[in-house]
Amino acid sequence: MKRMVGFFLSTTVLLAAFNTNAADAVKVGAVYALTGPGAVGGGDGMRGTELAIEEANASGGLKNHGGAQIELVKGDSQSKPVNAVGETERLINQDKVVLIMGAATSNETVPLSQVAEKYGIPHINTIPQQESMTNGSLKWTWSTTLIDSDYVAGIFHALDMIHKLDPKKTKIAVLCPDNEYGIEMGKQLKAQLADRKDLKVVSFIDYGAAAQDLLQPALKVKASQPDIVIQVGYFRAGVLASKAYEQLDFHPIVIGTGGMSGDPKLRKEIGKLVAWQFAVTPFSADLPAAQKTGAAFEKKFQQPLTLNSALGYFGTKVAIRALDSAKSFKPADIADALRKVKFRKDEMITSSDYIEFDQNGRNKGRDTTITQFQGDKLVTVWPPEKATAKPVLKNFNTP
Amino acid sequence: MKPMLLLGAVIALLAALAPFLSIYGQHIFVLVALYGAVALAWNILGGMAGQMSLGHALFVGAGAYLSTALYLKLGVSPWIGLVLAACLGGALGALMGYTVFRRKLSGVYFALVTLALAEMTLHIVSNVSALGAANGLAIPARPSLANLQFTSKLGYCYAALAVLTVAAIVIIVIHRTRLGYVFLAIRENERSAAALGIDVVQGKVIAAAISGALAALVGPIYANYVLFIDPESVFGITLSIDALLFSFVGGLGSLFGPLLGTVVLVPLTELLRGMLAGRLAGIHLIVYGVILVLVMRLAPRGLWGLLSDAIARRRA
Repeated sequence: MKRMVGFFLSTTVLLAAFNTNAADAVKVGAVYALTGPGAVGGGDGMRGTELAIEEANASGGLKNHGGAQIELVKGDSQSKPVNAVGETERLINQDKVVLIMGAATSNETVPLSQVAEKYGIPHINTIPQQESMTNGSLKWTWSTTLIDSDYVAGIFHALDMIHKLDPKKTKIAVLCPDNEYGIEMGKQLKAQLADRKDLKVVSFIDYGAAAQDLLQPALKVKASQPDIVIQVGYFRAGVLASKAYEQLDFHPIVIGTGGMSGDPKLRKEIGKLVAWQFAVTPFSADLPAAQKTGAAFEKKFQQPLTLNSALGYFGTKVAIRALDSAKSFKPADIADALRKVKFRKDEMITSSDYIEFDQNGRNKGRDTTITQFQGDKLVTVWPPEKATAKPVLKNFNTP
Repeated sequence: MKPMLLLGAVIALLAALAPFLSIYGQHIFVLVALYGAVALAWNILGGMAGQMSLGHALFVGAGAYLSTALYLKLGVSPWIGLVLAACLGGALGALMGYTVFRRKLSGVYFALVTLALAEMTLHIVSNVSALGAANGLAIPARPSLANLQFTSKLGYCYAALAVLTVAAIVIIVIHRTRLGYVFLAIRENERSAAALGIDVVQGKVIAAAISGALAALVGPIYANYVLFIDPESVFGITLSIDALLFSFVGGLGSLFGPLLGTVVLVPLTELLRGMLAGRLAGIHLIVYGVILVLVMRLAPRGLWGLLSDAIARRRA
């Protein structure tokens, strides 16, 4: 019994040491995966949210509400849907947050949005692109990011851009992860590639989202002799795919999704292997409005502003503006403010043209940009009006 | 006190306590009851019959998907789905047990086969568009008793408690009948059990079927509570490891040790995450790990063993 008492006492002391309360402020919640397999993307999203709130507080808080400060209450979904539910319940019922943001993947965000719906608390979806969250079935969710079909449209813009530079590049291989993101993207890519008579799909390969290396899928892709590889996935897969291409002496033109081919951290991780890769992304760090945020982010966290950080940051900016313009912090007033909130083109740090929600909470100004690693820089090469450099058509790992 | 009477008293106490908990407290209550039921189900095969499973998520996931798909596609009430889920879980358990035990696979080989089956199912379901593929299935919120959805958390508390009660009653019944002795004999020494005339394969298959049926019962309640299922969350290895962990920490093979493990570890996880998660990423898991090491060090036979020793010393 003494041991049991000792165990419970030591646990209590351990917990008490961490338990302090912050001063009164308007509480907003953010649920991201801070641990588990989704911790890289979730942590990035949370850091973006932290920076946006810190900036808002430093510049006088919510001015229309007497300079009220914003207190961020964090939740860790541990990359599990049931914990996303639990954390959202905790933030809403225990911490009494007036608005909730998150998460980084759709399998956490869909149940999170259901909880927000149940309690009638506004929810800002900052990162996942699952279309079902903004198809009209949810009344309390607003999405500041893209949907899957936007990425697919962006990939076709990239293909057209390459086709203009070299019309002979027509053989396409697609590499997709076997998770929810990859399967959905793969389905849409397959359908649209089938309609393009000017392009020939030579292989469509799945890879394990949790795989430790991508040699085997990369070998299959190489065997199909494509001119262009479209690769769908996140940062980790981007590293593994590039290393596999290098080992196999494989030199295609690469178009990837933002996290896989356009994450600024790739340069540090795989060096010159990232050169010339195109990425279809909802965020370009070299866009004028994004540069200031990038510098502030790097100063605070000693790391570059990544895609998820930028999306988390921007979603939080939208939330803050809505909170500031809301008549009160009652859910209905915040929802009303979100329906009216607008961001002009010059205020956008993401690739989208502007922010204005439709009646389903989906942004009407959604758009992607295409980036490319050129030398030490990650530059925007498309669309022409946003481009900071011209696209260079060079194969993977070539001088 | 007789076990059934004690169980009745504990269940009545829990049922009376639930309305007084905060909403977040009720969420933890639901989790404890659901994980507790899975751990008890696991304990029938893993603890009582000594066949370590690493794939119990297979049964939970099968139950969750069957009930949800029937409800979404054919409008079948999740209550009927609950019964069908138990039948499916039992059938899967029996099938798995029959195929594996007949070939005398046990120990680590059995564990690996169960793990492989759960992972295979995860990947198959991830590619079946009728089951939502990797996107999963979202259940529209339509609270009504017929839909196994409740307007308040209290309804879920009682639904989860009911499943836990069923699992606990089954355990007590097994323990008090010949079947309990059969499982015990198989666990302690299969050859001796066979020499005594026990059909070892049949005993193990029965354990797998009962265990599978009970674990599958959790699936529909989980699905209607979270209102979303995807292959990773219900077929993933994390759920299987959780069932095993709760049983080890609580006391492997003991009647209610796995439940005690769940009662301690689930609220502890939630409490740690709530208090620490926002301060430093992963710190709550580190503290959780330290506490697990402490438990293993202080109570090698699990918390149930620690409790039994303390009671025995007091009586002596």
